[in-house]
Amino acid sequence: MKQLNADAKFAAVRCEQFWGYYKNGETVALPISAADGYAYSRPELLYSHSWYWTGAATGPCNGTQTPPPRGATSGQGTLLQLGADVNQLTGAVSTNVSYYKSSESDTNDGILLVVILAQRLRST
Amino acid sequence: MSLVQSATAFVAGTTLSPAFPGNVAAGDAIVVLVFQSAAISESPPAVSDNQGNTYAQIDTANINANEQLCAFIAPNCAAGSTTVTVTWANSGGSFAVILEYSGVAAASPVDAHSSGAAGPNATLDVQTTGSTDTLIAVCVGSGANLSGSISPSAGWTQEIAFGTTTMVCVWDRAVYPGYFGETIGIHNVNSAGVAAILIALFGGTPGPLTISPAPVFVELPDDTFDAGNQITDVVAKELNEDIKFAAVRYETFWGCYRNGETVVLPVSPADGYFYSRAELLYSHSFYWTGAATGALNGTQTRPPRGATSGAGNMLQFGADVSQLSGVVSTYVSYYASSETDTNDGILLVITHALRMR
Repeated sequence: MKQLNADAKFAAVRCEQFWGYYKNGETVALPISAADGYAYSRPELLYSHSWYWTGAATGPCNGTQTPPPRGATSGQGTLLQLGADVNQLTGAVSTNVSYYKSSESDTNDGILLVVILAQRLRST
Repeated sequence: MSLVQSATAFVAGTTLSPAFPGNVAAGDAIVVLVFQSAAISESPPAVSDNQGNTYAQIDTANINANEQLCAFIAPNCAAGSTTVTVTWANSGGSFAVILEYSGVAAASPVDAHSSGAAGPNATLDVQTTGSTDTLIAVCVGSGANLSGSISPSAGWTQEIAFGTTTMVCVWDRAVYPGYFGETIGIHNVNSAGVAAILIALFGGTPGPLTISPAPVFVELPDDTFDAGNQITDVVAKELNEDIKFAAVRYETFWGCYRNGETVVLPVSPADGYFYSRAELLYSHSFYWTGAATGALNGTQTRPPRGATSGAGNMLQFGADVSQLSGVVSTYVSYYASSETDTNDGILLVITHALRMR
């Protein structure tokens, strides 16, 4: 019965979600469960991201949950290509936004909304 | 799966007509158990009812050449007042038990069955495979001062104890997949012994989970289950609620939205729970950077892709779903000779729903 009780609790908190805004070069913070204070380790996290803004950030984001201001583009011209990634091993955020006018201008513009899908590993 | 109602009948002739006291619900199953004191070289009795349901024989058990127990089932029955008719060729003392079960698989409802005759107990076993099976055990015998018995008795409910000098007893219980060996008998049965049948019925499609209207995760301290502590019904129910809560705590939903629309509050298909805004987290993807051609409001039908609202090439874009209000905003800018800012865009929004404690 004790193990059944423990299993029920584990099942209730095994999957949790967190979120925040990040820009290029920042690292997604390790979350802490609001349910029981559990501190997640990096292998327990999976990231998905959405483009909040393709222009530049006006300052650090670092997981803020206040929608950050949208800055201007850092390159001249119009959008040529873009891409983003959150390293699933390290949580490092990278954004690449290129513009083109008379020539290509590559920047690290961009603000991502990162959703963290946390799933606890079995402890035994 | 559960027993809804039952009826019994006895006759010295060749036809029995037990009727349920209430209407049978559509989709329920009717189990018919017949004991006949007649030459069993005859064909098994014919079973039918006034609703046109079709009965299939499950099993038989013969005490001797003149006494036979038969089991039949009609799954997925029609609704209405139901009278079952059992007819056999030879006249003799006979009786029938009819049982209405809800939650039985509508097709091929019998998972396993076994039968036997012995005295005073018959030990039968079945290997069940369904995750929502119910076992039905029936036993019949003759004698004086009769009473039924089943061993091991844990989990069984005696539903029927019918008759005096000849008694039929019926038990049932829910089971998980596994092997079940049951010793079924009747005390004080005469030397002829008993006939018994053990039937495992598949459960139907599971219904929605039942969770209290305001589900909460009940904290059960680990020492609740320390040795020496009594496991009360209250604690057991709280543990059951915790397990159900855990099963449905995290759910996901999705839909397409455009600028200015608000993500709808989802309702759980599992138990009908209405999520509050505070329990939701949104992620989104650009389905289209051009304009929407009309309202979307969470449609799950791929929306048509409209043209751009500004001249020139794309300059920058972005989107957000307010994590507080669910309001969707999209920004798409174009540049030709000057910048044009629009609210073009269609988002695919994933709603991550996590129930609060």
